[in-house]
Amino acid sequence: MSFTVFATAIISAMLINNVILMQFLGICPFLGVSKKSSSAVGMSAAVLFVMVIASAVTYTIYDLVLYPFDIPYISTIAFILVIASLVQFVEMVIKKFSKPLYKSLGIYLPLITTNCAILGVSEGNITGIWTETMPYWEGLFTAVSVSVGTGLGFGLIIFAFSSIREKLDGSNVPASWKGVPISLVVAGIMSLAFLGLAGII
Amino acid sequence: MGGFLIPVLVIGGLVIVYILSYALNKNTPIPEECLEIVDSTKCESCHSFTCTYKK
Repeated sequence: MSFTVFATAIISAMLINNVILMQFLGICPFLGVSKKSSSAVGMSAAVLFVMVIASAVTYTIYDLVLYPFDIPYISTIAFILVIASLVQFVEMVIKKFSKPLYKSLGIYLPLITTNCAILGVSEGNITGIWTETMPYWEGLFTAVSVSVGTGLGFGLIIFAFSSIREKLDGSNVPASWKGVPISLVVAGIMSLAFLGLAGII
Repeated sequence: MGGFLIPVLVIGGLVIVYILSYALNKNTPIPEECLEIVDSTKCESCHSFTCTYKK
């Protein structure tokens, strides 16, 4: 457990293996909640918040329950249920104890239940980080670092994309390209640009 | 039998946890200051049945 592991995991998950542009996960909120920058920021914050908690919980469940009982094949369905329950709990706790946080994140939390990026990161932590011999705390630290990087990467891309879309709304775009077509072209170009970062680490 | 029972128990337990968390969340009142945000929410693209804002 060191700062180097933390920094490498964050940079790698944020820029090189970006969840949206390189792994093509979380495309639904990427296209659906990127019309306004303010919504994009709220959604990113909610995703980062839930992603970190979900990664820690799913990693723990896999390491302490699913693997010891020799039932790792139910990990996907177990993780879906864990994430769905977690979102409900987080929403309830925020509703009850933190009104300002609920005001900014509240309406985005139910959307996260169906965000495949959360499930993708949880599954990725098991296939990419977890090993039989790795100490629990070390694996948990790496998994949380990766989820922080992934959440930040999600936020970076969705915010950049929403800013471009806001600019495009005021631009003279041909009628047939207006709306979703030009947005998809922009997303494709962004993905190509991020491909240039592959191999840095 | 044991190989079948454990996964069923784990999934059943998680389903119960989900149902409980959903019921608790649904019964928790929305803070008064946040009611106008919830009212202005437009559910156009998301069809999540877990959404607590859906009328």
